[in-house]
Amino acid sequence: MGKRVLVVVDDEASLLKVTLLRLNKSGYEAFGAADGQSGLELARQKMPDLIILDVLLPDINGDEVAKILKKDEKLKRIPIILISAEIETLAERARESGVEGYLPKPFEPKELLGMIEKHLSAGA
Amino acid sequence: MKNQDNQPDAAIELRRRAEEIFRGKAAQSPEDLKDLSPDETRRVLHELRVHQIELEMQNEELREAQAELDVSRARYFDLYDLAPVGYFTVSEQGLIQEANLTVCTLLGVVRGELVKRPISQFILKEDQDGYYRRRKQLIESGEPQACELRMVKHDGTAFWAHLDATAAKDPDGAFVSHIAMSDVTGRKKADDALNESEARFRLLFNVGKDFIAVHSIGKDGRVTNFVQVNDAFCKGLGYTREEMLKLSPRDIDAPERLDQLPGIIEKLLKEKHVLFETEHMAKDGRRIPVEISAVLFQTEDGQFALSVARDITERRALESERTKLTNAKSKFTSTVSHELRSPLATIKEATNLVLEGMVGPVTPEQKDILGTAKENVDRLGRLINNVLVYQKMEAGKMGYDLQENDLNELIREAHRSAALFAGNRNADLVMELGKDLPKIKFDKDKIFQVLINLMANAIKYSECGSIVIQTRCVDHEIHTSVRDFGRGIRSEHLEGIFEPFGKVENNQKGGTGLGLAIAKEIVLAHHGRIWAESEMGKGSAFHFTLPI
Repeated sequence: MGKRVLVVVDDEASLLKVTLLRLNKSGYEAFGAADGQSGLELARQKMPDLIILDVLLPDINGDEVAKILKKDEKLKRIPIILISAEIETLAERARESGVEGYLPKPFEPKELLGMIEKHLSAGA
Repeated sequence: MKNQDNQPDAAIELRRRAEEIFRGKAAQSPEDLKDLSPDETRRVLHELRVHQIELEMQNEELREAQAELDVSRARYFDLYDLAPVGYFTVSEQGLIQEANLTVCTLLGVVRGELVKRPISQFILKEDQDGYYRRRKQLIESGEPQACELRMVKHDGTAFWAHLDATAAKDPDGAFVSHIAMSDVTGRKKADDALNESEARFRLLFNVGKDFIAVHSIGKDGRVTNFVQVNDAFCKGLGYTREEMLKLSPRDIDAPERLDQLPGIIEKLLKEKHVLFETEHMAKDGRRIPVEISAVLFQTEDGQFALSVARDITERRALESERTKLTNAKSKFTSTVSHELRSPLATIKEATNLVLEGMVGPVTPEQKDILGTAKENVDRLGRLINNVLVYQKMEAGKMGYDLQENDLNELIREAHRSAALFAGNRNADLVMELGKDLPKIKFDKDKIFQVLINLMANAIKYSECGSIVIQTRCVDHEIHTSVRDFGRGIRSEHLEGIFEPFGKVENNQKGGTGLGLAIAKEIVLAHHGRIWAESEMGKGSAFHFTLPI
């Protein structure tokens, strides 16, 4: 079995960089996008096993991107993890957009990896 | 003399005859009497006896008349001289003709010195014009006159007198005036005191900038028009006093505020006092925000509200300015903290990746240096978190989940957590928990935070020795203390220790400067108390209480 493919959407370029590094070093094939629109395109193009979405994005918010993905017949089964520093609204946004999980920023790498594993095994 | 009235002719005849006989007898020498016949002698003797009886009767009547006169004089003395008011008769020229004893007493002179003296001599110079004016009116109109003026006693002291005068004629038909006089000095003084106190009250009522008004409130809570308003109120709203007295509180309140009025009146009737804010409408439509303090009071005429309204335009502006500043500060703190978080997370993750050897082998020296970097990144992370928490508490936006909890149980939990970071001090943490503590309401997570902060401080600031966590029930509180046996805190440092960044000792222990400030906010939010005690060289104790 090949490497599991992940898409990470975060406008914080440096954080995206270290997150992708962490994921790639942890045995995944991870691709990054810096805004909602390119995130959607990347998801359609890569058909990943899991998508990580930051909430605050310059064009479309992460939870809105999630809603679009969940309406897409081809993409709706892909598990999504919503991440955000806006801790107060995160749970609400996660519930409304129908994503599989959420994680408040900042998080420990272990927490993210644990959550990814959980949803990948649940989906598989 | 009834006999004279009833039988005048008989009496006169009797008298005439008696005189004749008397003259006849006087003309006769005693020896002549011998010449009278026995019949004549008997007759003369009889007549003399009749005459004697007649005289005795007249004498008796005279005595009776004298007695009646005495009684009448006594009554006259009582009624006239001892009357409770001074009473005198004054001629057209203004001379005192007659005066009763009361006048003499009031003026302090004997009666002889009064009669024929002009009355004006006894009237204070300044008040004489008034007297003459009244006298003129009395003479011209004949109508009774009354006035109050100052009279002067013989010894020069003045007193206030009330005079009532009527016009009359003396037996010769000349004009006289009868004057009644009473001393009203006592009443005048009381009046003056009342006037003075009223003037003082008026001054107080009108001198300030506050709007003061009185209106009555019916039993049903119905509010009437103002019965009293001060100058400031009229001026402030741009009405004349006459206009104001035609208005009620309903007429000057902003329309959207009228709904709150019944509730305010209800509270005033119940508690006798009410403090509230509203907006008045000036005559020109201007709105004036006011804070009103009203009290209820009772008089014979019913119940009234006295309200003092203060223009709070300036205060409102300041408050709104302060709110703006507080909000700006909150927003700034919150934004900066959030903005700091993201790069910090990146630094942390980058450091982790290198430390874990993900991007290549790391020498022990590199690992050590990066380890120090990571520790400080963590510390910065804690500081940012604490700033966010404190800012939220300070803004009153922190929610508390108050539930019945067992404090001892929570302390055991905190003890387990503290043991994790206590390292080799693990065994020093000692619990002395009070037995049978009641369950009390508190936010478990927040009080946990307080306990962890206090324990972490105790571990940090004492190199060795026990750290004793104690609970006990005192009065209506549960008292918790965390005591260490370290070097102690200087008293001048103890004072501001619960202030944000109040930590004044050297800062090499890696604290955030907010731990105790947050602990204080949490305890205060639970209506508890928090304080610290310390003795140099002997250790410190931090205490907090939670109400039962």
